[in-house]
Amino acid sequence: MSKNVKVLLLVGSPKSSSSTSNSLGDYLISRLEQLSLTVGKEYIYKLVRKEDGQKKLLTKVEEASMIILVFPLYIDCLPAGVIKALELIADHRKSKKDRKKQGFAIIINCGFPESQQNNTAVAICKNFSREVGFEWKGALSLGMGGAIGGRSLEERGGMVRNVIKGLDLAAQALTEGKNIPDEAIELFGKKFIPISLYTKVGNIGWNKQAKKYGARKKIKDQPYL
Amino acid sequence: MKALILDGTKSTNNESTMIFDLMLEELKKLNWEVVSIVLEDKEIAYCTGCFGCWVQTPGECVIKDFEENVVRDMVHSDLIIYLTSIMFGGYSSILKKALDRQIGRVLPYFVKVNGEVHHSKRYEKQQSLLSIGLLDKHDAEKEDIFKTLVSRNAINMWAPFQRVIISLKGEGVSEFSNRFNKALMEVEAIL
Repeated sequence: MSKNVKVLLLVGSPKSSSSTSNSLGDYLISRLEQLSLTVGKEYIYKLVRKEDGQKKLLTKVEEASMIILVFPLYIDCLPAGVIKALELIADHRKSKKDRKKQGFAIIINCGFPESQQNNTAVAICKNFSREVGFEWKGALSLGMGGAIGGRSLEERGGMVRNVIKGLDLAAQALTEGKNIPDEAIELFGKKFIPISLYTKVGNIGWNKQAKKYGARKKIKDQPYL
Repeated sequence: MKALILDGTKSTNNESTMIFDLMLEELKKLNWEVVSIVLEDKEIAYCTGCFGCWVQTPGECVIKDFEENVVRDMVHSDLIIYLTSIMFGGYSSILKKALDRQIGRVLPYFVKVNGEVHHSKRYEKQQSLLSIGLLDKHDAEKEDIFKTLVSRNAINMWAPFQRVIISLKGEGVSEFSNRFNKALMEVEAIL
C-alpha cells in the first residue's frame, strides 16, 4: 500500500476521548503514523446527532482510503450511534456510481471477559463492509475491556503486552495493504488476567462506584415495581 | 398477559405499518393487553455509557426522557416484541437507541451462565422476546446474524423464551399472521 494513504479512525464509543476504544485507537494511530501513514480521527457520537456532523462524517469517509472503526460492544452488537453512522454511510454509497477501493477494519472491545461475545457484532460489521463495497481487512476483538478502563495502553503496562503486540502486527499488515493476520487477532484476543479474578475485581469495583454515589445499599433496587 | 411492541422502523416503511397492524390484530384476538411504542416519534437520547443506571440511580437511567417509559413498560410486560428493519444483520439504529438504555433491567454484577459471564438479574419476573425482522428479500447471512443476535440478547436479558420471525417484502398477510400467532401460543405456554 502506498505510504500516502489516508486512514480514518472512527471512535464509536459515546465516551469519546475517555473510552477504552479511544485508548486502543490511539495506540494504533501512533503505530500507523510511525509507518508513515496519514491518520485522521473522528468521534462518531460527536457527528451523528446533527446534520452538519453527519455530512462531515460522510465527507471524511469518502476521503479515506482505509477506515478503521473502533467501538465497544453494547448488548451483543454495535452501539446505536455506530449503527446510525453505518446506516448513513450505506445510504450515501448507494447513490454513488463510482465507488473507489477502500479498506475497512474494526477493533471491538467488550466488558465481558470472553472476546467471543463480540462475534455477532463482528459479523454485522463484515456484512456492512460487503454491502457498501468496502474491502474487509479484518477484526481485532478483545474481552476484559474494563481492565483497560480508558487508560492509555502504555499506562496499563505489561498486562496488555499481547494487546500491544496484536496492534503492532495489525498496523504493519494494514500498512502493507494486507489483511489483519491471524497472529494479531489471536494475540489481541488473549485474556490478560484469569476470568475469576476479572469478575471478582469487577464486582468489587461496582460496589465501590456505587458507594461513591451513596448508592451502595440501593444497588439492587427495583425502581419500576 | 401484557405485550410491549417496540417499533424501531421508519414511518416511511409501508411494510412495517402492515406488520404492526397484523400484530395488534393477533394480540387482541388472543386477549393480550398491548402497549405499543413507535420509537421514531420519541425523544430518546443515546446511552452515554456512564453506568449511572447501575451505580448512581440503580435501575434507572440518569437521563430523564421517554426511555423511562420504555424501561418501565418492559419491566411490567410478559412479552417484548421488537419490530425492526434488519440492518446488516442487526437492529435499526432507531430500535437500538432504546435498547442501549435498558441495561438497568439487569444488575452490574457478573455471574456465569452456561460457562459464560453475563450480568445478574435485577427483577424476578423476566420477559420473553419476540423479534420481527424485515427484509426486502431472502438473505441467509443477514437472517443468521439476526437470529444469533436475538438469541444472544435473550441470554443477556434473561428472557425465558425467544423467537425470531423474518418477514420478507410482499409476504402474504396470512403467512405472517400464522407465524406470529404460533409464536404467541408458544409464549403463552410458558406463562
